[in-house]
Amino acid sequence: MTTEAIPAAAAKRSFRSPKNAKRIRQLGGILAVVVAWQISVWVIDLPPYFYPGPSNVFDAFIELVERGILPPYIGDSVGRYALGVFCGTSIGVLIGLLIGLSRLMSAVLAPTINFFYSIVEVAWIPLFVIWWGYGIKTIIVALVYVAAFPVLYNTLIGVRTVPTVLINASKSLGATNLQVLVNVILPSALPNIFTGFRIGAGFAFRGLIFAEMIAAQTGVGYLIFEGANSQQTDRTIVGMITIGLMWLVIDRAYLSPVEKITIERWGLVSDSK
Amino acid sequence: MLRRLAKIPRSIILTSAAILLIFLAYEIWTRSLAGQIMADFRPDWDAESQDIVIVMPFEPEQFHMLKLQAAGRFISYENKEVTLFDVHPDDIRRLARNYWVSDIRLITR
Repeated sequence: MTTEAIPAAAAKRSFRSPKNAKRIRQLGGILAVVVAWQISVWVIDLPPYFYPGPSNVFDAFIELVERGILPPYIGDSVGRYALGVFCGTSIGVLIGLLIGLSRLMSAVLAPTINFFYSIVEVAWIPLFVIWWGYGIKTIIVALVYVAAFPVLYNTLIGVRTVPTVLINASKSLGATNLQVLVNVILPSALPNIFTGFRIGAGFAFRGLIFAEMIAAQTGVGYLIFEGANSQQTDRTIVGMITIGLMWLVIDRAYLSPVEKITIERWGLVSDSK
Repeated sequence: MLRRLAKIPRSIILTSAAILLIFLAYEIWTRSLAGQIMADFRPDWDAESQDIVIVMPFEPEQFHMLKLQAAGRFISYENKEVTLFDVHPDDIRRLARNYWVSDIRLITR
């Protein structure tokens, strides 16, 4: 084999690698959906404001970018989501630890939390709007509400399933309560906390879109709602595709790797444990 | 510290870096656009507020009107030009950073 042939062969091998083959199949699936959509537009032949085709949606996307509407909307949605998930996760972990570590707090708070968990955020948003008006405050509160509960429950399960023998062993070696919390309980509960975080982050994303539809004048959720209201259905579909892509990036780049690390480091956990 | 950073998955680092780069490029681009508009237009930085005309390449939508009304008092709209009164010089610079603003002209009452 000549020296020139080696890089070419390596490139051929890498192009045909299972990872690339999987990507090509995935792209093929997306392409098939777009083609089927365009064919259905030709066959059904409805006005574009009622059933827009891929070309209408692409034009709407270009228009939204040119007019400077889409980039700030995406920025607003991502900022709200990050802040809401951060606050919701922090509150969920804190309350979960509090209830998990204290029997008194568990007796006092557990029924109340169970009650509030059953009330979905959709029911709260009209009330939040009355209390905090239209805007970021209402959206953040709604996201905190959605993200906190799965984290709280999973933290609680994580804390309660720490083997007592580990706590007793560290205490018998002279560890203080704080040292037991930091070095035994928290590391043991971490897989469950990550599981809760992943569930909460998913719920929060759906909550974000809904909250923006009701309580915002910017954001991708608002774009979907406003597009449908003004019969600009192509814009609504641009919003829907943007949401899908945003979730793909969040899930593939941030949540899945965290989940993978959790599984590799501590093994698979589930909230039914 | 470096060993801990090495444990962070590559996808998280790469995606965060890409988002940061896009954000920085966008900031630099909009600031340079503002610089071009502000080079021809010299507001009185000591003035409390000024009256301006915003020129746009298209008919403004609700999104644009909300942004403009946040900066000053909306007076009129004609031929893709929006007249705003009582705009603070800092807000004029902020408006110039929007890439959908073609030009800003000063007017006297």
